[in-house]
Amino acid sequence: MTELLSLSNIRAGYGESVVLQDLSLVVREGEMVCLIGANGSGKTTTTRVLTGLLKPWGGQVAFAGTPIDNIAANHRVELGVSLAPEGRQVFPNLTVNENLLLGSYSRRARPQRKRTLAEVYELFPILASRRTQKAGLMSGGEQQMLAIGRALMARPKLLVLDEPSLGLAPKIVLDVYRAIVRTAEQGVSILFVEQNVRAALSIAHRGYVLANGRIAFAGSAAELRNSKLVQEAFLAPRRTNQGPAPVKVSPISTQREGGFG
Amino acid sequence: MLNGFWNLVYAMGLGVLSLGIGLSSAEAQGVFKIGAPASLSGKYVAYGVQAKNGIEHALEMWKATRGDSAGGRKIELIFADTQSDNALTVSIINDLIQTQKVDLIIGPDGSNVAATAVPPWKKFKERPIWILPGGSSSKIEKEVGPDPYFFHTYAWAYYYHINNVDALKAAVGTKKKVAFVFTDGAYGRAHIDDARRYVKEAGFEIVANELVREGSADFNSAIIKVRATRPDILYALMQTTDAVQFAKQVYTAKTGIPYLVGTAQAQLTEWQQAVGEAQNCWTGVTTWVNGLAYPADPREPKLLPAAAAWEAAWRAKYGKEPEFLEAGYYVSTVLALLAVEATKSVDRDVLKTWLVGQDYKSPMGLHSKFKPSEITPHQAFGEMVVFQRVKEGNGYVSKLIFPKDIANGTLQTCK
Amino acid sequence: MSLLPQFLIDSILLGGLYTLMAIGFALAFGVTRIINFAHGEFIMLGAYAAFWLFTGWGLDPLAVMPAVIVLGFACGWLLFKAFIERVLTAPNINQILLTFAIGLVIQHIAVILWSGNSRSTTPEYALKALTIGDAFIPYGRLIGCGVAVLLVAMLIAWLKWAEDGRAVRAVAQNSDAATLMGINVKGIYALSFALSSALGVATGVVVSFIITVTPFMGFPMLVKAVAIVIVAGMGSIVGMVVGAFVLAFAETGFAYYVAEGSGWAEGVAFVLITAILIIRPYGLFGDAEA
Repeated sequence: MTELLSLSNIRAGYGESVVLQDLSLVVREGEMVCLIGANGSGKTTTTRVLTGLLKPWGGQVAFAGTPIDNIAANHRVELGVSLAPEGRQVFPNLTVNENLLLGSYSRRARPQRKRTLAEVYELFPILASRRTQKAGLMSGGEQQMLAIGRALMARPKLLVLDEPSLGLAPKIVLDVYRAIVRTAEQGVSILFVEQNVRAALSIAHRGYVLANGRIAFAGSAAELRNSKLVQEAFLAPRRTNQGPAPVKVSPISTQREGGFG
Repeated sequence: MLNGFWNLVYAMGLGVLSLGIGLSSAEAQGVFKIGAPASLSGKYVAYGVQAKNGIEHALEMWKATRGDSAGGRKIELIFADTQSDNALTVSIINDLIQTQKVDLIIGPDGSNVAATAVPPWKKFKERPIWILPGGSSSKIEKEVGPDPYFFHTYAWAYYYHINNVDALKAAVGTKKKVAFVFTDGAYGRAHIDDARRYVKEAGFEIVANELVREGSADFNSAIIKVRATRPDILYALMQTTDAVQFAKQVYTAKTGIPYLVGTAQAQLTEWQQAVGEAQNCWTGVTTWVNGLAYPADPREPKLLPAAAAWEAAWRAKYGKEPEFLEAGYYVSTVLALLAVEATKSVDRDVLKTWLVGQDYKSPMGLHSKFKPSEITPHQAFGEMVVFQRVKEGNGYVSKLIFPKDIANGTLQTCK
Repeated sequence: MSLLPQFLIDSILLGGLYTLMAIGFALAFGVTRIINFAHGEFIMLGAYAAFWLFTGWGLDPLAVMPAVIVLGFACGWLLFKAFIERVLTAPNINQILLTFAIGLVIQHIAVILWSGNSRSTTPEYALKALTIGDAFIPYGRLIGCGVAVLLVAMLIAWLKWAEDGRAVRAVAQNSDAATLMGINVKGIYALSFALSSALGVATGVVVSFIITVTPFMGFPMLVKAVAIVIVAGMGSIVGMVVGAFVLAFAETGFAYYVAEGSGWAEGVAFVLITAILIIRPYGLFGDAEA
């Protein structure tokens, strides 16, 4: 299997605070890989580095074998990597349809827009029924579907998902994960970052555990499930999604009220 | 021995004498400092530029006829830009008097800044002579009071209205209805009381008093309300951009009002060009227009030539017709220089006496002798002319309609 | 004789003008979140461009508008790239100081080049009016209103249906997500600013035959544009149009129906803003925090 994405020795953070000390991971074609970690462990920092929204202080990001560190964030989607960001980050004042159209803004995706749109509506019938609704008015689960659908509009080779289950009721999480699996079945490789370890390991082929800015453990889904580390840290009984957590260093959200439109 | 003593006395006497002569000739290398506050930027820049031109031209003419000095003194001219700003004007006056120690002040222009200049000037016991070739607001006159060192070489607001009313009386009689529109700035509010007073005294009926906002983009509301009172005469008290805006909107509204009376704006090329066709039949009143056939002064034919010659020289130098403030500032500067030349002094009381006594003819026409006005003891050029813009060929000209002896036209109704 | 017909005519025409004045400003502010204190000066430059083309070559302002708009677009783009881009992430006060300074410089260059004299273009239609009974519709203002409506409609259509129009709206709502879509956010900022300048310049061309042109005409218009955008609330073009008309009607209403009202009619604008902000801090149409 060819290596699609590889992060090597990434060192990154915000201002004075180092979040990722030395992170390395790979995603191969056709895989579903999960990156699990506690609140504030650097999961979102990782996705921001690989999409180019955050410049790392050290290390290398490569896609399909070529280093992409010097490629600007808005050009990375042309390569075939697309992100459904943390917190959904839909365009709240735009309709579902408009959000999806924007997903295919890139040169790579635009010519196939019509076809992709039909595919996404088929994959997420709930979006089809809400086509003309303002995205900001939808429920959390619907917005998550939209974020994924929008990422798919870019016709990516690798779909990256940042905490797709965050803040969603268990039933909705199920729906979202079903959609992720259906997507993978279409031939899209998946990297998803999760706090909900049970759900993540239920569909992933492989996984990485992120702790203290490094990969603490890597292996197949079964290996992770059986590892002492994962069991104690994440699978202990009665843990809620948001456990007691260290202070989370968040990137400044660029979502604004109102906007223009 | 006695001879020796007297020799010594003579020698000392000669020494003192020559020292005295030496000292006084050194003092005669003194300076005549003129302070010239002017609005070289900001909303009164149109006036400030005229002030500057008038003063500079006067200095050039003086240099050409008399040389670099006046009364044996080197002439030093200090311009200060008021930026059409009141606060800045105050500091400028303070600086000119206290720091620069000017001997005489000419300016500033624009009623607002001129008014602001009064208190700082008055507070100095040793204030210099102040010649003001602008500033019509009666507020200025009231605040200056009967000050002996103040010389006003422009018309007070009420002169505008006295002349307007006399012109109207002569042309159409007083059984007419007058509607006022005035701006709420210093200009409008300064003029409205005098205008109303003289109009009422003459026997006209005042049917409207519409206040409009200075700088407004739309005067329609006032125009509509005025039109409803069916006046014979629309009397507008405004300046600069308001005068432009108002004239255009009055024209567009086709009010049907037969007579449109203004103050100073109708003579400004700037106004005429900006309003185009809308200038038709507006009257204006001014201290000076082109084409008045005033003669030269026999004593100073080069400095104070006939009006036509002066205009021609101005046209040759600046490439355009002179405007009223340029004429006023020119004459005022020449008078100041003549005063210093004649008295060989910059002492204010000496200059004052000379200025009061002088009686030169000038391109401003009517003689420059200072006479008392309502409050000011030294007022010159208060007599004004009333004119009307009328279409001639492809353009417009100013026809003088009052006073009768220099008129070349009669008041026309607006069609 | 009722004042109502003329009051309605004047208010509507003024509302159209105010809309045009505000929309350029709203676009730049809504997208880049930078308060462009030089917007008034772009209006002024457009007015002077129209004036010189009219006075020098006898060209009708409406005829030269497309060319002048393109020029305004280019100048806005250059200005953004040269100066504004540098303060995108700077503190607000820096941004304000920069654009304010740019505005002042442009103003004073205008005074030096063209003097402070009042100017105006006087094409045929500028001084004519359509009479309806006792009321009249000045052609100049009618055309101004018409141009405003046209430009605003074009802008709204472009924002709604064009690829980059949609991109502009996206950037205004979430610039990181927009980047993920492949949108060059800096380029969109420049585009928005350039469009804003183009609209400002168009406003100037239109008002050159409606109000008086001086180098200082820009700032009072900017103040009104800010007022309208605040009243409307962020994020809504429709809201901004409503805000423009509310202001126009309020000002004209006071001028017509309150004795000596026109003296302080423009002060009404600020009373209105204060009142609206007290009741609805996000403006009439603004979105409260989700």
